[in-house]
Amino acid sequence: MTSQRESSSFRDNRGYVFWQDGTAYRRINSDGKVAYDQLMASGLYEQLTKRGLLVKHEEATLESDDAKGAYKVIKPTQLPLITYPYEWSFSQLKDAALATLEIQRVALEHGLVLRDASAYNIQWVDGKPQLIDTLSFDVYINGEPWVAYRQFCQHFLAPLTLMSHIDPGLLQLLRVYIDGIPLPIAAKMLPTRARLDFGLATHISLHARYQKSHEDSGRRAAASVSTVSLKGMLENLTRTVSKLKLRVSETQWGDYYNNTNYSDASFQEKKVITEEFLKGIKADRVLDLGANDGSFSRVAARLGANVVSADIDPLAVEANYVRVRERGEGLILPLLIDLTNPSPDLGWDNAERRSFTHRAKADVALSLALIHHLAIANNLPLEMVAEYFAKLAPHLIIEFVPKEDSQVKRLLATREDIFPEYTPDGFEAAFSKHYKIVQQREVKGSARVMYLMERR
Amino acid sequence: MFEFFAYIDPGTGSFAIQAVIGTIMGVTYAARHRIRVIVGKLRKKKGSDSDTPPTNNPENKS
Repeated sequence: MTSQRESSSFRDNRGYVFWQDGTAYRRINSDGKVAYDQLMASGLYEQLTKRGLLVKHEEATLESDDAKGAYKVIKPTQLPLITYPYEWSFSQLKDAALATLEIQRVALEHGLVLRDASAYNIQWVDGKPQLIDTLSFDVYINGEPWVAYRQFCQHFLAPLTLMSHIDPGLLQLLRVYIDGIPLPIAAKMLPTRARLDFGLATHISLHARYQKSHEDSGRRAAASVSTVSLKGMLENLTRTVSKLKLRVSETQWGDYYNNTNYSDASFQEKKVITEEFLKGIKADRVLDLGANDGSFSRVAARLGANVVSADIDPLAVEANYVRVRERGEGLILPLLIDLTNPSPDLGWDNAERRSFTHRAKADVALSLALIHHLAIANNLPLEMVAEYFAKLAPHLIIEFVPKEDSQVKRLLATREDIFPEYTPDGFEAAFSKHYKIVQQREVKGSARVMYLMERR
Repeated sequence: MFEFFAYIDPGTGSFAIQAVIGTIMGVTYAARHRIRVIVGKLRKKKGSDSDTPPTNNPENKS
């Protein structure tokens, strides 16, 4: 049997993830035995999986090279899509941080600790953050500090603080610093208001100063922290993270509900058409591109599909996620994706964090009220848009927004119209090179047209 | 002193700071915990049935 090691799974000496027949397995080496056995026997596994905080798994027997000599091989519940923290909204990162701290708190009650606190170990399952690394636990020894404290501050606290106190767009720093934002950099950027917060002043500013003063010590990390002190630190981290809020004005939020440029009737009709098209192709996995607050993702989710609801705007993704959380809409996964610059291949050998295009797999892509942003605001030839969309899914539901539409007029108001091909005929000709047009419907009350297409 | 072996570098400074801030936060934690226990006992005496266990997660607080 052939198997292949997952390209991002190389740091941990106690095991790694590998692929066999399209399924992800986790190998546990013999030095991971003690912690794994305690995780399973102490009741921690049961408690965390019951609460949805840890991925469920079953033990597997395999013959492949990657399974040979292992203490155990486990098969975790498979995920439809791996996402990365730089693709999340503020509240997604915050909830992932709080989940990590809660796992650590409960682990301590069972004589275990988290030996890492990587944001990449958290994934979205049924709309909630879940730890997917079963090997993240270690046996707690009285007096030991938290090994993952630095990682937690870099992966979660620093980006959340910068997003809260400066701008949500600073999340993108995580694309550059894939092991989290270095604390000296975060500390330099902190505005006075943030420095006055005891938790932030401690976990970021003072922490950065300690790092600086110890960087050339050449000594191994050594310190003693009592259990009560450790619990106190965790409580303080939890309170510090909980207090961080996205500073958004009421008017900015309101825009996400009132900014449609066509009548409510047209918007409703568009939903009806989308639903009809979706029913025709029986899509299990939907990729909603330019999803805004996810109105059309919800049409697909109501039909039972798993929907990735992607948008370029951090506040739209935030609004979408808050709604998912409030309503328990586990089928919808809001994601921050700039289609004109989607997440690239990053890390070691450019294979550690895979590109969005590489990971995105769907039965159908939705592109509603999006084409003009790509073709006019970003000068993309229509054929290139069609070619890219065809990579993402075999079906496409797309809305053509013509030049008479007020949204397009707005885009063209400040620039020269260099887009003679941007017409219904030009659109159909360009997309016909990659797709067969199955159906098309006019959206009443607007000049827009909806298409259902099938990849050639 | 506790010397530790981990697969990620915990950082010498990140360890050292925990000894200091852990003490301060530990005292606060212990005090809060005590107050919760006392308040809980008083409530029980009054015959209240709101016997919620103490939690250190502010998100869970009502």
